[in-house]
Amino acid sequence: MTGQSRRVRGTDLVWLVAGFTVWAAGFSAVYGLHAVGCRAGWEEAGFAGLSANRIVLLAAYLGHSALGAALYFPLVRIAARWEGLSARTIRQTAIMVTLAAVISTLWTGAPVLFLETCR
Amino acid sequence: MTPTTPVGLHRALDAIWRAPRGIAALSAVNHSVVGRRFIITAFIYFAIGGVLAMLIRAQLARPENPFLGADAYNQIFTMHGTVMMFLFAIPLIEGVALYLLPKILGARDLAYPRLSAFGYWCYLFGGTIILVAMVMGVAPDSGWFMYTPLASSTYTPGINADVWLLGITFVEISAVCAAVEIVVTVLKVRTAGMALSRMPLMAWYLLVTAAMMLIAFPPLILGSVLLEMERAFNWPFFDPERGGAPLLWQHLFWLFGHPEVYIIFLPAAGAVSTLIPVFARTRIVGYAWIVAAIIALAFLSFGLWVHHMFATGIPHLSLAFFSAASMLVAVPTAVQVFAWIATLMRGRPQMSLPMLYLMGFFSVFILGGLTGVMLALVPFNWQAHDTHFVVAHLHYVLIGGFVFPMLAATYYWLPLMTGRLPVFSVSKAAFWLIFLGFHGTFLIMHFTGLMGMPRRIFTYESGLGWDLPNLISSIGGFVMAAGFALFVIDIVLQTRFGRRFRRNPWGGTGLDWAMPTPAPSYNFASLPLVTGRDPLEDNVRLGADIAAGKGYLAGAPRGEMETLCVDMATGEPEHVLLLPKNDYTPFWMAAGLAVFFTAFLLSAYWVAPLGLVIATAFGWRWLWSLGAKSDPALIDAGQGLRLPVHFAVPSVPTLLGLKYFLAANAAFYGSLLFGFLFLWTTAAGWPPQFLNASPVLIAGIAISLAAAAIFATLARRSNSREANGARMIWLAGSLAASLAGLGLLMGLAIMDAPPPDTHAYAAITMAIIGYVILHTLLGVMFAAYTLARCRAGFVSSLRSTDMRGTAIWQLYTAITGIGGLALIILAPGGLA
Repeated sequence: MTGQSRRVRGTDLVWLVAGFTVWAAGFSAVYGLHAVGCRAGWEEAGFAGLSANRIVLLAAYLGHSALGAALYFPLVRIAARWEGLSARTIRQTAIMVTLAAVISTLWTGAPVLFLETCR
Repeated sequence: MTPTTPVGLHRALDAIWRAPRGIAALSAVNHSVVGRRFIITAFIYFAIGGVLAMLIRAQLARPENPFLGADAYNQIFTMHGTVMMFLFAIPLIEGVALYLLPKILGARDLAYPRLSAFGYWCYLFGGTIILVAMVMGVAPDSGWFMYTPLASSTYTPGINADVWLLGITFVEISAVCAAVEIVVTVLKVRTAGMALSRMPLMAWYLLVTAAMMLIAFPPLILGSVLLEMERAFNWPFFDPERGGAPLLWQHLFWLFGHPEVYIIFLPAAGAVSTLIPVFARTRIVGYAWIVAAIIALAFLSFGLWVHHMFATGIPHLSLAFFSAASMLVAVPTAVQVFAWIATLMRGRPQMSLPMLYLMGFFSVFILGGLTGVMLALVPFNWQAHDTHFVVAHLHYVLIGGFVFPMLAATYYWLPLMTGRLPVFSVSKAAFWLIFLGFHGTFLIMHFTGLMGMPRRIFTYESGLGWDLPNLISSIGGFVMAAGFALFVIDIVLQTRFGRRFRRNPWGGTGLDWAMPTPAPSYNFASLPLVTGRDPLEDNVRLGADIAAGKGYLAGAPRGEMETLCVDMATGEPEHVLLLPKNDYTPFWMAAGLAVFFTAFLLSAYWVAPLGLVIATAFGWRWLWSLGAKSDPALIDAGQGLRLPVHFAVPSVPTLLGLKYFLAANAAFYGSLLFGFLFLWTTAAGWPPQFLNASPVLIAGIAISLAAAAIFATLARRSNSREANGARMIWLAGSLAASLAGLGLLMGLAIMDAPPPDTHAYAAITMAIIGYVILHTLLGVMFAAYTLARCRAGFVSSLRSTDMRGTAIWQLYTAITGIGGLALIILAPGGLA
């Protein structure tokens, strides 16, 4: 325990869902932007051999993946201070769920890396 | 004098907790009574759904069978799916949760007993509407998924589809109520020391399931409301000729429909996780892994809905997202299966009756999961789409993943209800008939589907290779039905003639077996201090200690119905929850809604508001009965602990429930905004005309809604500073601002918005405005109610629930109202 240890609180439970909330946001963003891009004709414009549609989708995919991965570091730091009843279980579970969410984000969005966008 | 013996405590508690008999039973709100009612009603619907299944199998037993005509068959297969999903599976989960939760959490009742009673009446009345329609020959006939345009008034002109849309919406009110009830109960209403890490896994499963229900059911309710508006008032949300899209219905339906599969599976998996350690005589392996898996499963299940729409022409990239998610969801499911297998390997499994059904679950569900992975693959899905392969798969998943575990759970927990154990071997014969009949029906159906037999056809020609498989399926179906009939007989025999036992017949380690059996009306004579995940293993005399009053809140010395509320994470007691006594209000409120829905169904639109008025009046009465007119003293909870009463603390469960209700409400509104964006991106010629509103009017609405929220917050702050004059002024300001906003919104709807029957854009814009109007109107009522409560003396700096609730509501209304209007305006060409 460090000097900053504190009892785990109800609000800390948000860490159990934070990772997958990012996954859900990323999933919705990629799916939604895909529809908007195809409707708005982003496929026609582009940069460096990539269509604007692809660039937007890649940004959403990589951005959410990075955000999900970035959650891990504050989580580990904050969870290390938790003590008392439930601290260990909530810490373990939150870390597992957060890592699972990052993997899920990488997996479900991966098709933007190689599939055609508007067919 | 306060009784101190176990018998004395029992008599004192039972006198105030027991449910009334006769006509007064309509007022019962006790969780055991309401839970039992849900369970029994659900099994009655299961029997009805089973009879419908037998009619289907009789019709398909041979080719060109004249037994049923196409119209009757359409009604029967639609009703089979509808009854099994909406009137059996979900309500059974609700019933089991409502009955069990307080018992496994060490509480005397749920957080809101009247809410669960209200939910039951909504379920019963809504289900009855659907059932009566079937008896009268006007049952829904467009499939349990009610796809448009088939379910639109052009192709289903009678009231058949309306029965489904209104009846199911009515029933789903009970699901949302149960979800709020379950979430708050699990998080707050537990016994002392029951930290989250010590909670039974069943409680985790039910918590996650209920959270899913809060998000999953609103899209279905929204879809039903929109389709009913289209059918009743010609608002063309799904009509492609007027800017609508039939696919919007599919999205809204499956946004609910796929998580629904996991909503059904997870509580059953909770039963599996509970029973396996008991019968393996060991502890569950991987507690934290299982919790992590069910959280992951809950989220991922919301990313699968489009796999029901793979054949609708959606772009390949979108298909790939959902295909990937559909494969991924097998992983957290597998984590649970491996944890169960590891538990069995670590322990010494006993093949008792519930375990027999669990073995059935393993063998059936895993096969269903494997065919699910097959269907997650787009190319295979296209081949098998709408064939009997899919019918076979979904029955393997639903019967394997839900029915078998729930039968096991029934045998496990029935002694808690009846105080009796099975004495005859009928139960084993029932199992084998169900198990063999099930495989007889559905195993071969995979091949029938692969041979090309489509779903939902009332007959088929001979010579296609489908004759023999269908006959085998039908024979299997009747064998399975015989097994279920035997199960019912067995339950009746056990209830009437079963062997009596004293306590804990299975050697369970949870608090549910630390009470006398049959479970008394109050569950626990005193509430125990929990020191581990297996309280009965930690203290084998726990049951006797509880009965002897060696815990918290022993007996009923104050004549009140009391239970503990604890800190969410640590389980440390925070306050005492005073529960309501039996009350007719939930019954009459549901009856008011029944008037509304029935009148709407019969197109008696002038009568429908009367039902809403009745429901609102009883809702007002319900809220008015909460709290007290003076600040309560601390309660001696025993064991040297003195605690405040729930309505005199900031973390009152009522507000927590309001927040979760608003979460469901936000899911509803989010789905509506999704509908707007979906149509904007996919529908042709969208939008044809724009909202013809002046920016001044829009700004006026936004300022009014924001002011109502700010004033309500200032009123809450004044109240906490005991500045009673200022709180009344701010509250009156909030009321006035809401009234101004309401007037401006009505002006926008009546004078500026395009006629909603002209185009889907106009319809969905009006739907958004209507949502904001409704919430602003409720904001007016909230503010007026709180003003009245202040004047009547119900509000103080300690008793601030009304103030806080109003502030939360007004803030929600401002955010959603301004957000919705912004979307309409900022969408390209939003203002004329």
